[in-house]
Amino acid sequence: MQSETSRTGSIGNIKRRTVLLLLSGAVLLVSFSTIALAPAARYREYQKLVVNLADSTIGLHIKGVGIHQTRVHEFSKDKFLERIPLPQEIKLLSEPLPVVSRLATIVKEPVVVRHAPRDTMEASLNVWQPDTLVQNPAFVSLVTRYGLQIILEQDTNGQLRDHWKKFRFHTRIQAGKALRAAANILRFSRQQYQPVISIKMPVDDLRAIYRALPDSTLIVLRL
Amino acid sequence: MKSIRWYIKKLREDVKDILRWLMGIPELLEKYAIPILAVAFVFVFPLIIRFIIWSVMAAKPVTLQTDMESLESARRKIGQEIAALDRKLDAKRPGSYYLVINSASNEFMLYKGAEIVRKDKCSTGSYILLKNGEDQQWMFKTPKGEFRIQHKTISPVWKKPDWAFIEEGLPVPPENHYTRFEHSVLGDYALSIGDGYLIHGTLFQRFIGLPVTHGCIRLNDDNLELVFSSLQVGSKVYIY
Repeated sequence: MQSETSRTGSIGNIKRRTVLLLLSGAVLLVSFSTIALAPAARYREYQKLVVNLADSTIGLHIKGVGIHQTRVHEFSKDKFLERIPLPQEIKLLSEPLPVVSRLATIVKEPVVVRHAPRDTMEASLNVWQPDTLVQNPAFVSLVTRYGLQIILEQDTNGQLRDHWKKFRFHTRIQAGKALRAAANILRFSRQQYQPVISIKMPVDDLRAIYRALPDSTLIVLRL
Repeated sequence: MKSIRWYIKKLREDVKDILRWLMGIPELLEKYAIPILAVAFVFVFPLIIRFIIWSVMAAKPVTLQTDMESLESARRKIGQEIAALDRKLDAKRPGSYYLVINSASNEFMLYKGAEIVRKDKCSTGSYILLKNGEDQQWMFKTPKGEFRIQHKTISPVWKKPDWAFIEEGLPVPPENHYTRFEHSVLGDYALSIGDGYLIHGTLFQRFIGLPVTHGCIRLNDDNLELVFSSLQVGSKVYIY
């Protein structure tokens, strides 16, 4: 009798131990998978910019559905990218590239702050102008993983203001590069080479694409 | 005042000096040959080496030692993979009607599969940040991403939220006060995409094409009727 009780007790202990082991295993699995999938989940829901230089198109995709496409009027790519061997190209561009830094002459969200009027008289005087009536020249630089820089420019620069903005935009990029190079010299560290792809496209499309891209965006590039 | 002859004389002297100096260069070179060569070596030699590295040792395409047959089979395999991926991408596109809204240019496109049924102007969020003191603020922007039609309404009634009164400088009435309910301001139809955002009509048709809304999407009457009849509950709406 005593031995039976002790046997059932030990079987109960083993069962409890097994359940606890399985539970802790499940918790570990869930936490590991959460950690492992977190970077992927960060980008999963977002829009992707598809730059297809082979077909001279740029498109915007949400969850694989193409929602906007425009033709590239003119583009130039770095000699490094022209000479890159096919296996390296496949290795480099077979996965979407996350954008690590950006610079633009237009704002992503043209927010206008308005304070609530105190009465109806003040409300009627509170006039504002919609953003589409005030449009700045659009120049955008996106730096992706591996230091690949994609510069998107408006294709028409009719006014002096456009040229000035373009000059300032490029000067800022070049000054940044020069500063980084100087810092590397001072630190005795290796200089970094940044291949550049420059694309000219219609300004409305550029504005729409830039404003649609979220902060954590991905670029699919086809050379 | 000096005469022209004086100037010509001075010029001759200068020319003679320059010629004398030029004649002396070989002597100078002979005299300082070693330091000149050393300087040239220090400055020019690295440049020559760098030039050789750039021109001769530049990255060249890697040629794989492979026969044509295996190359062809690899190409065929890649082609098959691309075709499979294209099919996968095409499958993601909704087969029935769906709506795409460009909030930057205030345009909408009604698609059926890959075909555009209607493309026209619409109105989206104004990006106004309305502040009421330090505690309350509202951002009037159209959300971006993929949405589904939650429900459809005929002759919708607008229940004005607090910001509608604050924006007009009016006192905010109680929750279900009759002044909150407005008929026919949203047009004949409304389609909800969730979180209180609607696709609806407007009384102010002249503002269509401008970013003037509080986050909803406004269409003119014709377009609204077409969109309402085409999109069903569950149909996709892409906003960017």
